[in-house]
Formats: sequence, C-alpha cells, structure tokens
Amino acid sequence: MPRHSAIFRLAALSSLAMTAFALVLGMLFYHTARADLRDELDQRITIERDALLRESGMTGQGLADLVNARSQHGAQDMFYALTDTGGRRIAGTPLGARPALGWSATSFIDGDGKLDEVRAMATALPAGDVLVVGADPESIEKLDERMVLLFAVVFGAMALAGIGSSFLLSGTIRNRLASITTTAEAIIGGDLLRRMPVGPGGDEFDRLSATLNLMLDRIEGLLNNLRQVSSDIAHDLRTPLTRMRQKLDAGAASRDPEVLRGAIGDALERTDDLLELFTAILSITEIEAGRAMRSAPLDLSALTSDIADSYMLAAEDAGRTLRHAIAPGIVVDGQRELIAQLLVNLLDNALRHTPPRSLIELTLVADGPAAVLTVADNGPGIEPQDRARVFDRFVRLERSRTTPGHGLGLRLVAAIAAAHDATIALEDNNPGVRMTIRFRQHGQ
Amino acid sequence: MKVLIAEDDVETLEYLQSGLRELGHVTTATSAGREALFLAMSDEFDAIVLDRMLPEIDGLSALRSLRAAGVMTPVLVLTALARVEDRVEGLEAGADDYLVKPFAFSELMARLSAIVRRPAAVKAETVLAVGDVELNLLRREVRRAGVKVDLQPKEIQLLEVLMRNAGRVVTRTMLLERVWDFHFDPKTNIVETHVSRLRSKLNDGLDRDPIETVRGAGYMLNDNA
Repeated sequence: MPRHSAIFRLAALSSLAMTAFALVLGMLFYHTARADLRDELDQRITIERDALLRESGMTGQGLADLVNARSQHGAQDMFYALTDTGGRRIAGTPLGARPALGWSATSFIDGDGKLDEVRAMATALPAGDVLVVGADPESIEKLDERMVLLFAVVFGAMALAGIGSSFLLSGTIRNRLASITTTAEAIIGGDLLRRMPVGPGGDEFDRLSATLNLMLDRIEGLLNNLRQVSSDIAHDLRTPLTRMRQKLDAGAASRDPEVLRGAIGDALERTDDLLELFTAILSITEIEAGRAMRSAPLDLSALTSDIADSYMLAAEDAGRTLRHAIAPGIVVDGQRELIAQLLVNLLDNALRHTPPRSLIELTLVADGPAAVLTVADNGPGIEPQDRARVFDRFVRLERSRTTPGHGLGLRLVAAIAAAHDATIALEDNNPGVRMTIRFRQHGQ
Repeated sequence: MKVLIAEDDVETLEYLQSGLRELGHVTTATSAGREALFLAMSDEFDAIVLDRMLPEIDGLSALRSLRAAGVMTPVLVLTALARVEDRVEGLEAGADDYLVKPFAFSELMARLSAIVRRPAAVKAETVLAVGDVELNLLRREVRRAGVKVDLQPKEIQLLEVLMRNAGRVVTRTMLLERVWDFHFDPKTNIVETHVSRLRSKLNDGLDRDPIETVRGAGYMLNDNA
C-alpha cells in the first residue's frame, strides 16, 4: 500500500465518493420502483374486490360462491376470503389471523397448510360480513432480492475498480514524477547540463518539465555570467597587480630613493584604480539589486544644465566642444546622485572616446510623457556589431584598449537607467555615437 | 588636538593613530561602542573619528546617544558602505562628515581639520574675506584687491569652499562633494579645470596666486597674505 502517496489517497477518496453517490442513487431508484410495484398491487386488489362485489350483486350466497370459485380457479397469487362478523370463515381460503379492516399485511393458509404472507384489503359488507382480498407481493420480494444482488455486484465492482484505478493512477504519476526527481537529483549531483525529459504529448507533466527546463536554462545563464564576471575580474586584477608587483620589486631592489618613491607612487595610483574598479562593481550590483533607490521628483533640466556648465570648460580644456540645448522645467522621478552619475559617465565617455576638435551635443527635450536625454558626438562611432555589447560588463572595444578605464561605465549607465524605468538606446550619429535615454516625466 | 578614535579594525586603528601622532596630535583609542560613548561623554576631545560598525553599540547609535546628551564634539564617521542611504543616515545621526573606506590619510586629515575648525555657531556673515580676496555672499560678488572679478556660479561656489577653509587643505573629493554634490569620481578633471579657471580670473594682472596646489592632497587658500 503506497502509504505516502497523495495521489493514491485522492484517487481512493474520489472512488469512495463515487460509490457513495451510486448508493444514494440506487436507494432512490429502489424506493421509487418499490412504491410503483406496491401501487400496482394495491390497484389489482381494489379492482378484484370491486369486480367481486359487482358480479355477486351484493347477495350473501352469491358472494360466497364467487369467492370459493375464485379461490380455486383464480390467479395463483391472489387470495380471497369471506368471514362473518365473528371472523369465522364463510368462503374462500382460510386466514392465518383475523385481519383489521382496510389495508394490512395478513396471512392465508395455502393448500399445503403453510402460511402465506400477503398484502390484503378487508372490506366490511352491509350485512356485517367481511370480504378479504389479498395478493402475494412476490414481485416486490423479487425486486428486493435482485436489488440486494445488484448492489453487492455493483459495489464490489466499483470498489475493485476504484482501488485498481487508484493504484494505476498513483503509479503512473509516480513514474512521471520519478523521472523529474531523478533528473533533479542528477543536477544537484553536479550534472548542470541535464534537462527534464519532455514527452511529445505536451500534457501537464511535459509542460511542467518544459517550464523547469526554462528555469534551469536561466540559472545556467546566470551561472555562466557569474563565472564570466569572476574570470573577468580576476583577469582585470592580475594585470595591474602584476605590474604593481614588478615596480615595487624594482623599487625594493634599488638603492636610489627616487626609484623607490616612484615605485610607491605608482603602486598607490594602481591601488586607487583597483579600488575604483571595486566601487564600480559594487555600485552596479547594488543598483541592479534595486536597493540603492531613494526616488523623489527631480528637476532634470536644472541638473543637466548644471552638469553641462561644469563640463563645458573641461571639454574646452580637452580640445572638444560641448554644446547643449536643454528644455526647462522637465521633472522626473529619481535619485539625483544616480542620474548625475549617468550624465557624467555619458559625458566622460564622449570626451574620452573622441579625437580632439570633436563636437559633443547634449540635449534634453520633452516628448509627450517622456523626457528624452541625448548625448551625441561626431567621433569615430561604434561598429554596428559592437553596439549591443557596450552595455555589458568589462567590455572594452579594441580601439579603446589604450585609454584608461575599466569597461564598467556604460554598464553602470544601463543599470541606473533600468533602475529608473528608463530605456537606453545607442544609435549611429553619422558619424559618431548617439546615446538616447528616455525617462518617464514625473506624474506621467 | 585631542582625537578619540573608535575603530574595531586593529590595522585601521594603528594607521590612524600613528598618522595623527606623527602630526603631533594626541589620540585615545577604543574598539567598543559602549566605551567610545563613555569616553566621548567626557566632552574633552576636539574631534571623534567613529567607525560605523562597532561591537556592542554600533557607531550610529552611539552617535545619536551622544548628540541626545548634548555633546557637540565634531564627529567624522568612517564606513565601509558607500550607499547614498548610508551616508544620509550617518549625517542625520549627527555626523559632521562621512568618509568611505578605504581612504587616504591626507583625505581624513583634511576632513578632520575642516570639521574641527568649523565655528561652533554659524555667524550671519555676509562677506567672507581672506587676504585681499573678498566674497559678498548675498550679491555673489568677488573682489580681489578691491577690483571686481567676474566669476561663473560654480567658480564662486568653489571659491567659497576654499575661503571657508582658508589655511587648510581642501581635497578634490571634498570639492566634488561640496561644489557639485558628486559623491563619485568623474573621469573628467572638472575640479582641475574650474580651479585653473578661477585662478586665472582671480590672478589677472597680479603676480601672487592665493590658491596653493598641495601635491597629492588638494588645494589650499592662503590666509597669510
């Protein structure tokens, strides 16, 4: 007995319920049929009695003769008797007991001297005699017998079918679930590439397996990403740490205090770079986890103007031109610090990845419910095949290998945009790059 | 000055203690929140360097109790957490400044000096004057040796921060925080650009530069002119 099978319990319970329902239905049917048969029997008795009274012409002797004749030659299952007021038999079959007037169950003594239980009607005649007409309820008894037999057979069959189907059902489902369990155990055991078997039927189990497989694919993707990020971080750390070690080594070996000082200065600088890398990684992780948000209405126009003003001089000093066109009064919901960082990262990127004498344009306009921020340059641009990649972690395109940076700037921009429900698009500015961020305006 | 250092990381503690002592300051150290609170209550320190995470009573709770008790000793909170919320929480608890680990000692020193010399009550000053530089805070007007100098709003803000900390080093990070409200480090040298622009406007036709560049630390406005 599968004691711990929920399915077996459910199936058994439902078979039991079905059986109980059939029992109620059977009882109902039985009672209706029995009442019909009894009505029929009563009707027969009434018709016989009325016929006797009518044919005898109500005379005492005529009725006695008729009763005798009927008793001997009438239907086998009908009984007739005529008694006087004292209950003594005048004609017909002898009675086992004196019946009460009206309908009753009474008994006649048949030819073999045995008592026959019958249904009978006793009618008092005007002269004081009593006419008793009875009918053997054989058909009702037969029905009772059949019913008992039928019930026994049907219940037996239903119980058997119920238990059988419960076993079958729980067995089938257990087998289907077992294949899922086996696969899950294999995955727990380390076989991360295993997937749930999906049958061709497309039933509930196949759909469950397919969903589980999608989940496993997602987890595998995340794991791969994590593995990639870890190895990228390790790689990004190795190079500067190796160089730092070489410098310090050379400094330690040298007797010239200038060399030592230079080595230490260099090491400090590289340490700062590494710390900055970690800060960026932590910021991205926090923003992506959605924990860093403290959102409030923010005058994006004012913030953008402020940063644009600060960058104009810096751009000029770096030999680039920064132009801006900022529509006033645009308010978005967000965190000032994060949006400032987004703007700064975009402008830093535009300044760093363009040659001198490039033009960088910063614009902010309202477009229906959206606030559209663009930073465009006329530099060398980004190859179409690289455009989707630039928002990934640690992506540094071949051309920018020589410029300083850790390849997390745009990833941070993307994370901040996502945290503000803003969309980000990178387009060709013919020539150059155009970054478009669409925020939703406050209250929209 | 007398500095109380409440820090449970032994290496950071030693780094701070030896650095401060080398500069001639007196330090008292503790690594537990309860003791830090007890020591700070004596109100005999010029400044307190308080780690945010301390055993027993955490740094911010100790700070709140201290402020509730009316002890107004300047407090610089150290933290390993760099989230906006953490900084806001620290300042709300009554910290005078907030510094994220890891930090350069020069950065800590600059910030500590800035909060220690901050006047106890903010005077309703309308004009700041350092040497021959004058800043009218109401009219946002700058004069050098009596001659009006035209400055952009950011340049005036920059000058104001330098003037309020005259004679003390103001780091690049402090300027980014106070002038731009940036709590991150942009790749573009906006601080350098603005300082150099401010310098050239302020020194136009004069040969003495009041803004001193302190290598590896920041800038300082000379007040001994």
